[in-house]
Amino acid sequence: MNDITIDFTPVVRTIERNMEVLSRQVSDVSSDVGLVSARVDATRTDLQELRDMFEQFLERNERNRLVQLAETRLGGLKAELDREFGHYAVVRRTSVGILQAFDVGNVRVKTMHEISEELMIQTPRYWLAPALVGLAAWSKDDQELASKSIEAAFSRDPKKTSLFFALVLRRQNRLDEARRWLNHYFTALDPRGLTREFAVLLEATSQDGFGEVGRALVGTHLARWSELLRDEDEVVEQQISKWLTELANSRGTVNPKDFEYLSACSPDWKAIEAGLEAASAHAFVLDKYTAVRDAPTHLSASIADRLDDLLDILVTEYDAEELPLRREVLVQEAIIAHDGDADRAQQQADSDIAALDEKVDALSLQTHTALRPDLFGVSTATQRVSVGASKPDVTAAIGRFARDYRAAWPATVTVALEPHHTQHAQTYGFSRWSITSDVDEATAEQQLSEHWDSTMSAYIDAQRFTPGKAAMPVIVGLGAALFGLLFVQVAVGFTIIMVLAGLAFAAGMIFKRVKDAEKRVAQAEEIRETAKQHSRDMYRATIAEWLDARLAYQEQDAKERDLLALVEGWPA
Amino acid sequence: MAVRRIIASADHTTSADPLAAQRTVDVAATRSVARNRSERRSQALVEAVAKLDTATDPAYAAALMQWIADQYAERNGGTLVGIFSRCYLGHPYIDHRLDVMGGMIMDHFTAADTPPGPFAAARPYARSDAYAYTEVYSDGAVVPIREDGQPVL
Repeated sequence: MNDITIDFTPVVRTIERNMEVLSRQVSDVSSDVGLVSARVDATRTDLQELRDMFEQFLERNERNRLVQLAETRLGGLKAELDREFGHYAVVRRTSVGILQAFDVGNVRVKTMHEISEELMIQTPRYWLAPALVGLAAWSKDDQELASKSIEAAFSRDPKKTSLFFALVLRRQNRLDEARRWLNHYFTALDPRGLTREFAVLLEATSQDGFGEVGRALVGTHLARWSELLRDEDEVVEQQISKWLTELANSRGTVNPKDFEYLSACSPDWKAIEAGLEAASAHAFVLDKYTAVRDAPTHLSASIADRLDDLLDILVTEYDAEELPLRREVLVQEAIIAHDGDADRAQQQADSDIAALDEKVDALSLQTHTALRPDLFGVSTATQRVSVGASKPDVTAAIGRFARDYRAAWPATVTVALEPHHTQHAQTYGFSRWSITSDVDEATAEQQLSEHWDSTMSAYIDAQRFTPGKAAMPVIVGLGAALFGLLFVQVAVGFTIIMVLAGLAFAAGMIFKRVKDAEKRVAQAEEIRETAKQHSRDMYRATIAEWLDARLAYQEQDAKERDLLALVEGWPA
Repeated sequence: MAVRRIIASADHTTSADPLAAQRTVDVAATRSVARNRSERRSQALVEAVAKLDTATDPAYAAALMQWIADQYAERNGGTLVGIFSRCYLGHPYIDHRLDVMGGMIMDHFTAADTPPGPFAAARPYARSDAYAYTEVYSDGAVVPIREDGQPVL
């Protein structure tokens, strides 16, 4: 039987080739898949970008829409304001013109009269129109018409009419008449809702803008309002708390370097520091308000200008009936200003409206002008009047402030020496030692000394000579003696020498060790004494600084009396 | 507590109830009580409180305490638990209290003592020269009084 050999090599090769092709193809597919995946990623990123852009577009679109809406509304509101109150603007402009004409004297009385009468007919309900008619009538000596017009203006807005005539008459140097109007104005005011214009008037009167009598008039009204408002505990508490803040803000700061040991060695340092700082407030407040009391009162040249500004504001400011529309205008303007950002626009509008509505009760106004004259634009003269009117609040605040820090001031303090208070303490494992400042110095130092004794007793004991320390020389000596004894029969002399040498060595070594130990103990005791000295110095320095701190506190604390005296004797 | 009792007469407290007048205070309106409390103390009252230390005659001291309690009842400024002030008896005593509610007893304290209950809060004020004495009320108020009789509220 012939053997048939089949050669599979070509088949295998073919298979291998095909496999290779297949593998390449698989690899191609895989790379294609990778490519697709990358493209999908890219697409996703593109989509995300598109989405972001779309959202941005939406937001911008919404903002634009809001801005456009606001612009449209603003146009409508302005048109409405113009329609409803546009003629008020004419009156305002005219009144400024008439006042200027009064000053210059280049317009005929007849013209003024005609113009004002015309305005009177055109603007029913507005107080300024009859006021102008009254002014024109006054200028041509028509008393009947003047009285009638002024009555009409007064019935429309008593507060503004009174202030208007008070200011106009003051400009014309008719101080007596001006004061009568001022009295009307004060009577018409609500002591719970004063505006900034009152601060300006307060300033004007305290600077003698309306003469001595004018100042007394303001004083009388302020006192009456104070009495009225002081019945309300809550309002009074608010004023006291503002003065308390003033006192708290006037505290000095203590430099811990001035109390180097006390700040490091007393756990009560925070309380000491707080007490010292609080007590120092009296002196600062005393200096500040003594300067206010003693500041020279000279008539400020600008006060006349300020009163004119007030007149200007009075005739040009919006009337109460316009305010709802004006508020809406503020909101729309804020939306446009903030490019449609509704949140920010609302914030700004709120603060603007608050400024528009800013009203304050008489007591708070006094406190504000006494504490922060700069914020209300008033001078030291007004500040002085306001401090005088706030006397009960200042006294109460000083009392509470001092009472509170006195309650917290420590009568005695703890002096604590920590394990690391000196290098020695750190090296020899000193454990925390503390004592209160009311323990007398000798007792305290005795205790400190005992504490060091116990801290170092183990160390000193370790330096002492003990029988154990004699073991080595004794063994060596005995060894030598025994070695010598081995030769007792051969050489007696050698044995004797070795025994003697051994004994001598042991005795010598023991003697030396005893001496060394004594020296070391003496050294350790010296170290202990030095350590004690350092700790004692630290304790003494801490106590000395505590006494200094107490003296400083007493000195500062006693100034409460001076401060109270300053307030008590404040010029009326 | 090393307390030295100067006067602890039991019959005194039973014969005259110091709180009888003050109980009427509780029905007074809170507002008026607060107002009354903020009124300045009379100079006579401040001086009487200062005399508590030096009154050695028991009868006189008892009368003085009663007078003080009556003054407070009349003031209608709240129920007074007692009065706390600096002590001039000398070492070791540093301050004392007049316990009005507890039956008109004077207790003197050393630095090591802790004054009982609400009186402990008055101790820092007794250390200060700024105050003549301190009132302790049943509503928890601790009111230091200046030498001129002005309360710190």
